[in-house]
Amino acid sequence: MGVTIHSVLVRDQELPATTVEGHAVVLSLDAGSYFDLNRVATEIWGMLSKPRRVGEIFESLSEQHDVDTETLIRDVTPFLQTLIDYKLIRMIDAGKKR
Amino acid sequence: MPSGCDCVPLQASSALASRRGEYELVIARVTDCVILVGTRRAIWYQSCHAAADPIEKLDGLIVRRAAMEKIRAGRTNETQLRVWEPPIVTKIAIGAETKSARPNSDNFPEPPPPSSPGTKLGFSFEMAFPMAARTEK
Repeated sequence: MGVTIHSVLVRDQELPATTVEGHAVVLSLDAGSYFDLNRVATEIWGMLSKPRRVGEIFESLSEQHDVDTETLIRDVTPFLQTLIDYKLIRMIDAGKKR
Repeated sequence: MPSGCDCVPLQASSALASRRGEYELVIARVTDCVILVGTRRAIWYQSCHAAADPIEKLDGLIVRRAAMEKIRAGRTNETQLRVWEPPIVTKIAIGAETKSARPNSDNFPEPPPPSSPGTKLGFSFEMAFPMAARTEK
């Protein structure tokens, strides 16, 4: 199931993570890898410490960055899907539009 | 009703009269000080605010306003809107990073496996003479 603006996501709290020079580094033993997140990705990772609707993430990012909504949807949605694929975050509510 | 001066006792009044010259001198010194302070304050005010010349005052206002606008603009960009960069996650395999980065590392021979426990001196000694046998009497 794909990420939509209504989806509710949260990061996997079990994964050890730290911040190195403003970049979050997450270790996943299941994947046998660690994951380096750039600055904006680190901000999103921080937001996902508790369950967040994707729309809320967009709002927060647009308040702090010089970016329009189309760019946000184009850049952030596939990024969140990648984190789900890597099992770094999980979708706790698909958020079907009511 | 008598005035306040009429109520001053005679002795005090005479004492005041006798020291009148002294008091006048003190009053004159205080007056000089007040004038001096006023003059210095006026000089300081002119040097700081250029109040004497309206053109200078206007220039100062323009310069100060321009400087404040720059500061405000910088503060706004810095604290509210940051440059956007697409979020990126980079996956790095743990094994790939811990392996030697030498280009010809495959040419190096594999290190020999560890020797069997029997060939190690301490282990052989322990096998031949168990600790229990050595401590029992």
